[in-house]
Amino acid sequence: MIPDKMVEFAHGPQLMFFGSRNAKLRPTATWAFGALADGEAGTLTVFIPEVEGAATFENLHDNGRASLTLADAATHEAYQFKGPHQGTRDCIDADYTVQEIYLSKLTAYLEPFGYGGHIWNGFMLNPCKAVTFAVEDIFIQTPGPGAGEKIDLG
Amino acid sequence: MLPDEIKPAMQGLIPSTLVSCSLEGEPNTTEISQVWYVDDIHVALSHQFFNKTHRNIRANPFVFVIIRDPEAYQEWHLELQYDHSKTEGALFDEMDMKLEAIASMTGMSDIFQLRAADIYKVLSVRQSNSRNIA
Repeated sequence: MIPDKMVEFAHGPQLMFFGSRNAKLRPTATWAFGALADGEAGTLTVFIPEVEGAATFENLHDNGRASLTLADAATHEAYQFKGPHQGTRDCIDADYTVQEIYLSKLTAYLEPFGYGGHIWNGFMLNPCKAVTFAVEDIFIQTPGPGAGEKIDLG
Repeated sequence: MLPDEIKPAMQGLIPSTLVSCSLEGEPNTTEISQVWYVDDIHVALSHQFFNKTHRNIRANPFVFVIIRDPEAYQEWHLELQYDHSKTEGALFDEMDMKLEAIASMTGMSDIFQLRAADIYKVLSVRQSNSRNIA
């Protein structure tokens, strides 16, 4: 179960960074572009471009430990989602459509701050993989007194 | 090891991404305010909070960081190993002053506080292929 507020946040114009680690506990990170949260099932699917995704996909195959930070670049509101990997597959047309919608929202949202299309249009997003993990924990990462607190998933 | 071209990505104008990992194997992803050029094989990261990242790094010194050039938006990937911390001296003072400026620009003056300049050895560095830059 993912609270509605977190589902809504995941579907917003947030910056998305996906973390994983290898068998020697060496971590790595990569961008994710777009997310699909299933609140009832408690899963989150994110789209990770293959161009910098190889280490992440290998790590998930090796040990399945996933972390994802979603950050609102304007307000600094941020959350970290964690849980076990459920599956990775090639993106289909519907996924790329979600990704396009996400990018249009992100660009419009950050354009007034000087981080518009000239940045986001430069990323190589295709081919891309859809990575799904079960959300077991969500932590507040917004800088401030509540940072690090776990959100009640009900 | 660190090329001169990387220095613009260490101005702290855009937050950097850091991933650490606990000894139990749980990755932890977060943003940090500063990755500071120390010399061609060392960088300093701002330690601002006693949080999960801080605990992980004391247990497992290997981290991965993505930094970004605010002009070209070129990204760099660094594998780092924690070495030691500085809580005083010229480096700490410079980072503290810069953090105050970042906090002021981002409305975080009451929240950001430099506890230490954490010094890391650079294990590897490369430009990201994420963006198609001519």
